[in-house]
Amino acid sequence: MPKPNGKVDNLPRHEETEYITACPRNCYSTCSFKVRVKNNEILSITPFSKNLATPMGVCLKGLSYVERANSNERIIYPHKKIGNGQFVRISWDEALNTISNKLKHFRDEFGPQSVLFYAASGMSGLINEFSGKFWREIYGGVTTVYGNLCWPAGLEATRLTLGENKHNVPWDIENTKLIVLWGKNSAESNVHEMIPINKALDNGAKLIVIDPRRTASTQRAEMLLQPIPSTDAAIALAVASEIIKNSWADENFINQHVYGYAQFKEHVVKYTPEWAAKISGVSAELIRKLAFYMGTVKPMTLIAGYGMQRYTNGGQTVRTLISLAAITGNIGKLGAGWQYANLQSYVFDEVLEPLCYYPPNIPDSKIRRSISTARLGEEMLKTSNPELKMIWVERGNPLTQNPNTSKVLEAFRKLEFKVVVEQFFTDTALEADIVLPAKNMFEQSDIIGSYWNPYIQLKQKVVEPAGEVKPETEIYWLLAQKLGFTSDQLKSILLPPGDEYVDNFLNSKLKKFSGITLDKLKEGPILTPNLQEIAFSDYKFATPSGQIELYSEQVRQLWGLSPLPTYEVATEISSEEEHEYPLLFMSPNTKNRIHSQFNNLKIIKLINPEPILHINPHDARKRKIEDGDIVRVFNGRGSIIVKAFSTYEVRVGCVVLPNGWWKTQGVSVNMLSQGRETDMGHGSAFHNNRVEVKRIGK
Amino acid sequence: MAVKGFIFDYVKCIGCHACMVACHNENGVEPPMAWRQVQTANKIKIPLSGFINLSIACNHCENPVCLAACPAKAYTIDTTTGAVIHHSDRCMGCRYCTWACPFDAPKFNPLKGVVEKCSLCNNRLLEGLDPACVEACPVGALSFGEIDVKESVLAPGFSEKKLRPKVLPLNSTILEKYPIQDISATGFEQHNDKEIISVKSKISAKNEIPLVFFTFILAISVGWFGTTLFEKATLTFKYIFVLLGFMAFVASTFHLGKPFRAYRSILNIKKSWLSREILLFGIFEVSSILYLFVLNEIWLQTFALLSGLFLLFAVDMIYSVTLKISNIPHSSSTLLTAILVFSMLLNYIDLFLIIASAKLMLYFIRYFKSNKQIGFKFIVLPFMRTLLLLLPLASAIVLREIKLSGIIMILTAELIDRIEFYNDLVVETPETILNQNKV
Repeated sequence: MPKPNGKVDNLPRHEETEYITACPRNCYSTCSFKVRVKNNEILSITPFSKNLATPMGVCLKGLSYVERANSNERIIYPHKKIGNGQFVRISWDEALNTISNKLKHFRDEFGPQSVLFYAASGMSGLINEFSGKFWREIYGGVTTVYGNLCWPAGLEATRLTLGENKHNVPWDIENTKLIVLWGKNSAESNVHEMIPINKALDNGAKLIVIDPRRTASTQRAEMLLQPIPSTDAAIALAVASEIIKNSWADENFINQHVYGYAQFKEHVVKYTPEWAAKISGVSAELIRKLAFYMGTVKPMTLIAGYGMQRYTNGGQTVRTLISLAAITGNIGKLGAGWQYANLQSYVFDEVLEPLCYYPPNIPDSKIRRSISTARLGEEMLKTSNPELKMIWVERGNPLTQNPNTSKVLEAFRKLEFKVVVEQFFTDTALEADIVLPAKNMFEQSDIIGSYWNPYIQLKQKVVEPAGEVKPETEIYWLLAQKLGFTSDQLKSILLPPGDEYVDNFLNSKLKKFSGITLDKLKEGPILTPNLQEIAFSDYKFATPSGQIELYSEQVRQLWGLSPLPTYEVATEISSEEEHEYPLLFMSPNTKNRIHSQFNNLKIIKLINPEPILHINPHDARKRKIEDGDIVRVFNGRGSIIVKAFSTYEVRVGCVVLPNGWWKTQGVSVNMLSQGRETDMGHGSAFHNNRVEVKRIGK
Repeated sequence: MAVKGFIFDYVKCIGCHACMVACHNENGVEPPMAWRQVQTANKIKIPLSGFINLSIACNHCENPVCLAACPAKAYTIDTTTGAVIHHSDRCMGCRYCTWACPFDAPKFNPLKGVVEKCSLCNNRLLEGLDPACVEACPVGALSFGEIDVKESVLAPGFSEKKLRPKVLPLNSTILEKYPIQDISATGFEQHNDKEIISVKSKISAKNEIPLVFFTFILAISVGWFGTTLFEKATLTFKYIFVLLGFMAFVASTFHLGKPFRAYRSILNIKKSWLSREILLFGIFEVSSILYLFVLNEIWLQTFALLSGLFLLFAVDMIYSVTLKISNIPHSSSTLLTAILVFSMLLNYIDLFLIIASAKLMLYFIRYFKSNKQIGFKFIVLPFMRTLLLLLPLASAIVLREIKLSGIIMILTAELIDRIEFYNDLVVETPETILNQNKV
């Protein structure tokens, strides 16, 4: 493995050491693992068995850190773009001078809000808060985005229904008798969930999968329902109706813990399986079977994915799903529950998701949060008074990951100055004027939680940064100095360079928990204090009624939607565009990437070399498409050219191309998506896309 | 005695590829090489049938066919762990082991010119650790432990060759499990669908041009030398005979990844048909040239001819490691070509007619048995091959004579057949096995 050229050789050579650390990617599993280091080089990644959620090994991406950390494609020096679009290495001094001059210029000329600070989920951790502090306290303000690309609709739906986003510990799935994977493909997106799922199945539990695709997770499934994307709510309503009709509802549980059941019951009675069959394309027979299983097998764990809530009806869809766990009494019990996101380890945040995604009620005089991340391109272009002049991007790759790539690109190109902090030359980095080298997960310590497993973990610093890489905290420190601040002034606001300051900061965060120290975290993950292994086992629901709210007045007040869970027709999906663009375009995640991370690595390319559109053989035949043919996938927003492969994995009428590919690797799937917000939570409904596919050659 | 081997659970494997990445990390394998692979049966998820993933590397057979095939003795068995170890410094890159192994374990690295293969992480085993792939498996599908070794393994993706592979696949019946689903949502039309995923064979004429010429030249040389028995006891163009031998030598070394290690090719006479072939090639060339130029003695002539015939037998035996398409001999068998050449040069019309018609028959049987696709390879070449054989055949029947033009036609036809021979070779691999189980 080629080593990056850097200052590595100046460091004291030390022997091989093993550390325990954790993966900070935006991923359910958030694995603990051991990393072996020698001479400042990552040698190996091996399992750490004491994390009960990820006891065996990390996934292929985690293992690929060996290549990723040592890759000679990594950006380890500041770069600037020169005339012909090429990047050349520059000194930190030049980079910081250029940036600080621009920052001063824009602030003086247009005000600090002419700068857009854009950060995404590339690396989680508490230290990220210093980025915000820099822009607020040092620069004097900035424009940021609100909302989130991923999961807010479902979070908000859960919050409004159950009061909190939490669920049983992952290993509790072992205790269940019925697993319903509704729109989640754990075998790819949450590999480690397959351990308890398999244990449950070995103990006689049944697995039902609801997904337009016959995914890798369906191998042991009893039943697979393949709905037309975005129609899940119709199925859930009919299932609820059947459960109630057949007296399978848990009346006792409902009487004690459910609010609005009477209205709900009256509301769903009209939704027959036949009605849902027409909408969803799933037969009434299968819907009845699903109702039978969900109504009669206990305990049931209902696990929902994030894909189906990225539709304009996503929040309400998720509410209909939760209602199924509620009316069958599958909340707060061993082996039962609604599993969407378990934020119990998010103990350091003042405002939890999804509330932190809301734009502020009263505009802050410093931070302007007027741009929806879902509509990033459009709203960047629209923003005025002051107009945007500059963008600073860290931990994100909006040019492939935000909806409507063409619009985002247009907005980027309109800016006068762009800074991107990155580890690799992504599509976004290539648009920058200055690229600053970003730290990787091994180069600065931080504390991370997980939205699936219940641990607080330390992501340890195990090597010195490669080349001239500086952690963002240090970049901001130096930049603040260039802006005229002294070290003394900065000390109380930013994190001074040096590991001891990082450790002090992290220790200060841990202070509120007796018994958890940084040193203890170095020995492995620690279960969150006050963890509820069985979520809601106290039957306390932080809703206005204190109960599970099938009827939620808040839903009406906050989002102007029906207080009862409903099925709403998703924008674009069942519309008049059907004729022109007959296929539904799905862009799920794959095991080979976390969004747009990892796919530039040689080992990942070996496994997943190029973007390939999956199309149902029926649809392929109609278009005379054979395996390996080059096709154009297009709609009114854009078009992409990819190879096609026909497979029954995909439902008729759908085509699938996993998201995360870079333009430089062939395509950005978001060329085809539209910037829309979800019905609740300020999420991004970028799955409401119709396309047509045409063969263009061999 | 219980021995240790890989234990693989079809039910737990989700095809996540972590094993493969762990192997690269541990062993410094550089993409595009991969010592461990993950294959899928029913990759396109045909409804009403199940699917499985298979993670497979080397099974470190107790009867390792790679070791037997290797002419250069590049393989050894570790006496402590039982690991079948490939030593790249002893490998000459002939790739014969990659054809012989039905588990697709040895792989040729074109950048290094040698074969590479899973070492069972032998060094880790000696330290008391499990192989890296086993350690890394995030879902417990792959483990390492004591197993009963059987003659062969009966499980999806595994060859039935009796190699005593040290591997224990579990729960293969999961392949029969499929969920209840709406067939209408899958677009599946049972009767219209022809679901074949074509898997490229490891061997093709395009990649084996040196071998096509090597074996073709050998057949001509032996047939030609055979004529000395009956006519003038020598050859008119004996320098061309020498030249052919030299060309064969060049071709045979050309196909090696490490031509300068060609001398290693005769180290495994005991087991490897390839070693035997190379040795017999040397003996045939030396003795025949000696006979033609130096020592015109009958015993030497007989000796040379016999070594030539054994040589051709060895040539044909080499390919016995590949899958047989049918039980009848291939029409391009070098022995048949040699006899054909022999009969043409001596104008033995009856012998020629018998052999040529036999070849034509064998060719037709093969052609119609294999369900080939339409295209240049399967229309134009066979047409030319047939025509170029038929015309001289017809002319021989009518004129009772074979002209020079006829000889050229026949030789061209034979070359086409030899090319097709290499295109017909199929090496069994987990991928081909998993994809031939059609539903």
